[in-house]
Amino acid sequence: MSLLRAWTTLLWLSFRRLLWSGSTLMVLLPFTACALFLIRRGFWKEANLFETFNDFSLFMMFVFASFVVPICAVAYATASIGGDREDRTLLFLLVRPVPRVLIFFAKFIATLPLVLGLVMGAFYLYCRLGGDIGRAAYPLYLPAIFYMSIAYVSLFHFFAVSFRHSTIIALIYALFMELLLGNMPGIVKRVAINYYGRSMMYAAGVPHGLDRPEAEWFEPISATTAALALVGITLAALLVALVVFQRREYTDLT
Amino acid sequence: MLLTFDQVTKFYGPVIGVNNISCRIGPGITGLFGANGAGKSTLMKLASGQLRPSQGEVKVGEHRAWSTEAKRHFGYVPDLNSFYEEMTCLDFVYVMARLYGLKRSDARRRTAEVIEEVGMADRSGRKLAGCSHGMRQRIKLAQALINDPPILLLDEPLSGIDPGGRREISRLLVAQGEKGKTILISSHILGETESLTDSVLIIARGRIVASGTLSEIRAKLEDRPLTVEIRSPQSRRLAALLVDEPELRNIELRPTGLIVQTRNPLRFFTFINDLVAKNGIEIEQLQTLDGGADAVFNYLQQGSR
Amino acid sequence: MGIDNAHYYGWDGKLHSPWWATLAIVRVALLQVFRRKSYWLVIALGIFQFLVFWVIIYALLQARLPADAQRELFKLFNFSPTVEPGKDNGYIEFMQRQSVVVMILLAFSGSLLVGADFRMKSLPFYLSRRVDRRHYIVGKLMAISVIISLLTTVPALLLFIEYGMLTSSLSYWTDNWNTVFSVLTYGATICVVLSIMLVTISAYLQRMAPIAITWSTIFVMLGLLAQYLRNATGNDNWALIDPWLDIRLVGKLCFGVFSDADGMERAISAAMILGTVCTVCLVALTHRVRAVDIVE
Repeated sequence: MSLLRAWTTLLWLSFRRLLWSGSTLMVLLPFTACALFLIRRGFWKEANLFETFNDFSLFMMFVFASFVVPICAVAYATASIGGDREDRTLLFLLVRPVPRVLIFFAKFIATLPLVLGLVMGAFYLYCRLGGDIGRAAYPLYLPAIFYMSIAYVSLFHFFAVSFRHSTIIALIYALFMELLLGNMPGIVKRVAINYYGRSMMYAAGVPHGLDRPEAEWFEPISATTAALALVGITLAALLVALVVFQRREYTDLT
Repeated sequence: MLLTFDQVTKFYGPVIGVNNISCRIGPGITGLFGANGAGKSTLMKLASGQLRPSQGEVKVGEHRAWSTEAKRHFGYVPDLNSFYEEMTCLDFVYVMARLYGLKRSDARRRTAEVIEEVGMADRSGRKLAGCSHGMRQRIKLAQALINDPPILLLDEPLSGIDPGGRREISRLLVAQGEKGKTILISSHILGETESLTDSVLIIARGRIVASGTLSEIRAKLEDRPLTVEIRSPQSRRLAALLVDEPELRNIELRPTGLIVQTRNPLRFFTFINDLVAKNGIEIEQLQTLDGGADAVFNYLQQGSR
Repeated sequence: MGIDNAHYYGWDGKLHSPWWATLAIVRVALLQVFRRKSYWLVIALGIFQFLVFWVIIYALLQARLPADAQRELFKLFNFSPTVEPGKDNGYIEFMQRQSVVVMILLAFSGSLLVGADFRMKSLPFYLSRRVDRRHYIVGKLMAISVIISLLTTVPALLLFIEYGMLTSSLSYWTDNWNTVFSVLTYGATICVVLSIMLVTISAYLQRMAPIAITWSTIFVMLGLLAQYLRNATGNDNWALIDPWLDIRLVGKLCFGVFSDADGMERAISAAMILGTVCTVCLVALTHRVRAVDIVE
């Protein structure tokens, strides 16, 4: 019982500190920019539904899913443990009688509602701003956005427990791997999480009017395989992060 | 409750942090002294379960220090100046209390008690970001005392505290020691904690070079050169007589008397007794200048090189 | 006599102007950046891109490639060794491609070079000397400018030298001297704008993650949005919300490659946007840099 109390305290502490961190204000920047874009673009006014759906989907794929979602995950996932490591306050947690596994889960679970809440909430809002085609796109792309978000959160937690400068590594991954390699021809893009998310989005959107991508540029895998890949990445990253955090001596704290 | 190091060695890659250390630290206040880089912090980190020994075992009571169970039994004051800066002192200590699994009401009560104990009751509503170094040291001590642990591991707890505060904290630590708690205080300045400690561990280059009470350690160092000040109105004559003493290393004549350095203190004191009685020399004062903790420490440090 | 100062000598020398201290700030900043292994991951990407262009120039001039292959290479890397009216040259294209590397490196460097001074409260170490906020700000701006130049202007000039050296006479250099000028003006524009924006953002946000998020939102996301809005509305002015494009337009403005009045007008608008942003940033920065931080 006392362990549960300690764990919920840690969960609440982590959530509260993340929520009121500078990251929250900063991630609102890209979210707001997207919203302003959608308002200016005015998808709801368009008459050609097929073309508009295509445009809306491409925006969601290449701006929201490929840029905003990983940036939001970086902001919170690296700050949850990485921030404590950087500030050296992790020490105060590691000398308490809370098993390291539970410390890790408290940090991970505190991050999830923030990332999922912001990403899903923003996605819902954007779909509303998209009018009819937005409403049609919402259920189609929601699973992909969800799976991508948790995959990013897990992966960046793995970076946070493994590397001293995890923010740098995560940002290199988010800005270089995801943006550059994720948009290169060939199979190199499979190193990017957004490849799997976009595969799911193509699989869901093509039957509803989304243009199929050029095969030489982007060959999507099936939605099931992509979803399994994302779940696999999530679980593998979580498991490795747990093992690392359980065994790691953080000599950089004092 | 005992803190046990059993043949503990810790490597940082190719560098050795502590080397084959074995000791048992029991109730009372024990000072852990050593120069910077001697291995004090490594020893503290091993004891507080932040590091695992490369060889050997560190135990807190019956539990391995790395284990979660061991962490119930000690409070730790780290030698770092980082906090959740946005919190107030009270909030910080309260959260730390909750992390021990205390109920809200118990945590609140206990927080108020320890904040009072460390003398921060009137400033507990301050944000940690705006606290001075001394206040932060007190808050670190408060969070270590929060679960009333049988073992306290204090890494440089008095550094940065003003003399008045130091007296208060020292009284608090003495009271904790008298309750039968095991307290390990690390410091690189012996004078700072000399008066507090019942016994000391002196560490140099990752090894324990001496342990016991200061007088015990001093007694073991009989053959160590000793500096003695002798005040006498006949200091010139005394100096001339002392020159014949073979164990004498150096004599310095000063306006107030003599400063003598001897290789063999025991033999020197016997010799000077006989000399004074035989020659009727008046001695106003005879005192050893480097019998204190610092001198012992410096000597041991030099010896370990 | 209260204090015996007999063993101390008074200082009779003449102190340098505090502006010399800016050079020390630059030197320390460069050391800080280049000794971090993780930063070399990003720098290596820049070096890789430079080597690719180096090899392309070599292949174009020495490997006697078939005309088709040459055209393909030109198209793929948009490399034109000379300046034509209304077109960029290949060196500016190279600098533009380096922008991703510069953007990522600066996102990290901002926190290290400026944010840490505020977060760790080390600003008084600078401002307690003869150095005041002007010297501090100029020092940091210069440091960041040097980093940017080392990744953009300097390698672009090296490529220009390489091109000339692989031809059989000096005529490439003499005929295209204005290419050097275009590279330098574009480089200078990048340095001024990016350094002012980065130092200001870093002074306020301090930590790496918020700096990088803001930085990438400005330089990546605004570019993407500008492209979408321009395509959707057909209004070219939307492109001006992309700061990279604005910098490029101002760089071109210095060089005068615009063949039409419309292009010139957009370049002037870009210059005004950048000028306004930089002025606001400088005012905010001057307000932020002070030795004593007030804590509630």
